[in-house]
Amino acid sequence: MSRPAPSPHLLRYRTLNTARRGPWFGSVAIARSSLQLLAGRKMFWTLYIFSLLIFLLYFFGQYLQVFLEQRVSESLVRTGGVFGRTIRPDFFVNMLRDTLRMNGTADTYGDFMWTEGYIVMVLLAFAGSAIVGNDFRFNSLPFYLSKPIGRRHYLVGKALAIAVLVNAMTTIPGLCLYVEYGFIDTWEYYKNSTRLLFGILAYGAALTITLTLLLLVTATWLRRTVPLIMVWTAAFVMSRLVQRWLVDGLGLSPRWRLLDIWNDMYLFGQWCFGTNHLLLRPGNQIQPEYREATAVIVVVCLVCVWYLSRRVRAVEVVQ
Amino acid sequence: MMLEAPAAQSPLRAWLFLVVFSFRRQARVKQMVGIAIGLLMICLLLVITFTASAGWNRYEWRMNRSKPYTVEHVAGGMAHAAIDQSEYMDRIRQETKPLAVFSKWVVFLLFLGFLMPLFSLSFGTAAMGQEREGRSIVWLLTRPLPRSSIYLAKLLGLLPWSLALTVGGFGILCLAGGEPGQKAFVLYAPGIFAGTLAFSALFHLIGAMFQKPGIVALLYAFFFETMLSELPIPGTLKRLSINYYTRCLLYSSAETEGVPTETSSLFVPVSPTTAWVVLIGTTVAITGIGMWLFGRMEAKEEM
Amino acid sequence: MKDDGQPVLLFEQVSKWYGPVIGLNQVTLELRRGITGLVGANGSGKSTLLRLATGQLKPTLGRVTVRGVDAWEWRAKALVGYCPDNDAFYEDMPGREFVAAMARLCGFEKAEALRRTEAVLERVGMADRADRKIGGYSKGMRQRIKLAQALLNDPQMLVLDEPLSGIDPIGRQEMLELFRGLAAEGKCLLVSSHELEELEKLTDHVAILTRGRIAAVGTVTQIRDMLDDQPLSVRIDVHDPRRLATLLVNRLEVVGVELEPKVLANGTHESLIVRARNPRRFFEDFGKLVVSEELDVARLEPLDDTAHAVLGYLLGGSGKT
Repeated sequence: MSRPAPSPHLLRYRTLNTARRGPWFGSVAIARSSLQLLAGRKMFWTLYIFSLLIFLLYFFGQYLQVFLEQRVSESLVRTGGVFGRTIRPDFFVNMLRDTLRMNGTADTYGDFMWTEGYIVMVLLAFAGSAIVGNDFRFNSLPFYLSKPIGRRHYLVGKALAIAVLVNAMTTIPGLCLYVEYGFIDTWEYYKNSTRLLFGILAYGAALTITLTLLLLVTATWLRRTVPLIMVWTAAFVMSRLVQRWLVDGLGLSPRWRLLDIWNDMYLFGQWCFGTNHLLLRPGNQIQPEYREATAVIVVVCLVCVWYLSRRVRAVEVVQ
Repeated sequence: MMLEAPAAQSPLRAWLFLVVFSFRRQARVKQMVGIAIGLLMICLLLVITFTASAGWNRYEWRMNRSKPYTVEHVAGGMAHAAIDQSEYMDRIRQETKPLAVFSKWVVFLLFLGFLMPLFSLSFGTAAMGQEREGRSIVWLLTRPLPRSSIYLAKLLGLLPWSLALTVGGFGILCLAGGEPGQKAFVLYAPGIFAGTLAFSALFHLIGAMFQKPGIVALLYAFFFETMLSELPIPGTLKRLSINYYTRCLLYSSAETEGVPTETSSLFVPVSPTTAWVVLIGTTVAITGIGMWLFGRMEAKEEM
Repeated sequence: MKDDGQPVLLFEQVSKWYGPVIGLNQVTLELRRGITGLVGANGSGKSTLLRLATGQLKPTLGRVTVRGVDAWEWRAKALVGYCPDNDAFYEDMPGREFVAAMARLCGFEKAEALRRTEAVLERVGMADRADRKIGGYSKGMRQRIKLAQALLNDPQMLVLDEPLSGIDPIGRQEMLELFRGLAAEGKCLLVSSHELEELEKLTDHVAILTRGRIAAVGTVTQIRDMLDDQPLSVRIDVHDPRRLATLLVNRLEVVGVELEPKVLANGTHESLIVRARNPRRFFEDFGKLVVSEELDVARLEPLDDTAHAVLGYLLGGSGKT
């Protein structure tokens, strides 16, 4: 009986022959694992469902609008009483349409993305503490940095994950509403409303870049959930109340509205949609110029980038 | 050195120490206290600036903006008296009184809409939440103390902080607001106190029950409460919100001084007595429920 | 310390479920004075057992009592000192302040609490180093502080979860002396560890936990004898199973050999199931045989999990041979 010769295979070692694809692929892996981490949390899905409720309101609202327009225009309504008279109900439907603006216009998409504000704020506060703050708090940063990637790749990876979240709540549902209205209306809508498509993408991009940078800065700075929430709500809720007080209450210049970063992004979005500044809604609130709002967003982003670049260059990221 | 004969161990003494210990631990959450004070300072700066510059009497400004007497130029001097005694002018005079302006923007909008829920949320959820997140709760749960008493002690330890920052912070803002501010403090402080108690009890319960209490509380405070209490929606659903009862108390105090409020047909306020009973009752009930639940709850390792 | 015949710690048919996962399965355990070692791999249920003993968890089924008092009750906690595995502290507090606070939380008057704080710090060798903030402590110092707070109320039972982890060899010796001293005072110590070797230096009485069950309790010698009498089935994936079967049949400790037809990845290997009476000796002989006969063994898998785990510990591993 021949004996098999002992071979190195017995050792069960396997050399790594695969070529490495560079550190930026590491960022993609970090983004993927961060999203998987979030997807495993019930809290994430609860919050995401809340954001979907707003989307569904608009989604079915558009159908309801068209449905009502068709149904009521078919008949007249006669009021009761001694002085009963016939009313054209489409008058009321038009009033409803003008108020709700669920009709595939710039207002529809702008209002939808603005309305998502509160829930985006809550979800990002959660995501910031879960996927960025925890890495700093529980010292898991060395785990990432022990791999052949730098700190900037780590930050880009986290930024990608946050960007996906922001888009999943704003741009993508916005695009769905756009596609939906084309089906409700005619396909001509797509041809005639390319500016709206550009507006959704540009507004979404502004939200993505600004919110991602802001969240990275606050999460790396504060780390813990509650302080993160405090600063995050100050940036989105308090600033809104303060600007209302200063402009509507005290009659100061509308430029004070620039304090409200969410409003600045809304203005930028409306600029991209091509909305006339004089027709901005609500009509009783005078808004600062589009370019001023855009300048504020750019400054905020630059400050965030400056802060992050300092963090990246810092010798000690983990205290 | 050895431990000799067993000394008397008193659960009451241990519990009293836990109250003090919890209070002291709250002070160590420096970042949170710092941010709370920082936000208060921003608001304080705004109030001081406004008190020192324009003042709180907005009558002239409002008249310049809405120009109600313009009609006089057309209708002649006879119209002056009619305009002057109109309901519209009455409303303007009421709305532009210093106390009304201070109440609307500082008290109802900024304080009730943001600072009060945020401060209660931060300290309420942090008391138990940080012990859980930091996994230091094991040191409390392995002491010879009933679990429900630990829950109560933590609440009593956080309340001075929560009340100091909300009622105290409110007092500072009012002080900076000059005369209308001081009047506002006398009028609204009891309501703010009751609201803070109820909010703190609720957020403490959330802190003890949820793994990410801050997020749940944020969702509640700035989504649920805002939607129910602030938006002019009809129905009685808003009666599920603490903010609604606090507003009822504040509005009823405001009306005694002729300050216009949102007590329209949509808001449908309850009487101050009912609001007091509900707020205090809610505080007691939520605390009782929290003690009962925490007394039966196993410690979960936070990840 | 009096021993009135009542066990200090009693687990009666205790099971603990975490949703669909079972953490502890029908454990019955009775501890009196002295040191008992609790050994088990990660996830074997050690921490669950200790947390049940200290009243942090409630059993799904069965009952846990400390001197007749339900372990969940706060009164039972006055009888227990717990040194957790988890390394979470109030990092900003100095060690002395932390221990004193824990003493106050045990219900002692301030003067008494301070006296006890000094006593326990002295006992764990931290009296001269306890004024620094805990955040700056080494792992060993943190372990000592944890131990100090567990001793504060002079408990009848001490539950120590991995108390020696992170302590240097000299410190480890000091700790072992301390544990022996506590046992000599009549206290009941339940000490958990991954390593049986470590516990053997401290006590001969061990409980081996595997997959939520107590696999064996007794002295290490008793467990070894018990295991020697219990045959163990082992599956061996080998290049030429027939030749190995021939070689094994002649061994005294092998009581049965069975060929199991099994085609492996390369299409040539098969499996062999061996029943051995004295597993410890069998594995020693088998190792020598593999080397001397140059056998190409692809896999060796004991088929009895419990015996496998116990054997793992007895052979000096961590329960995973």
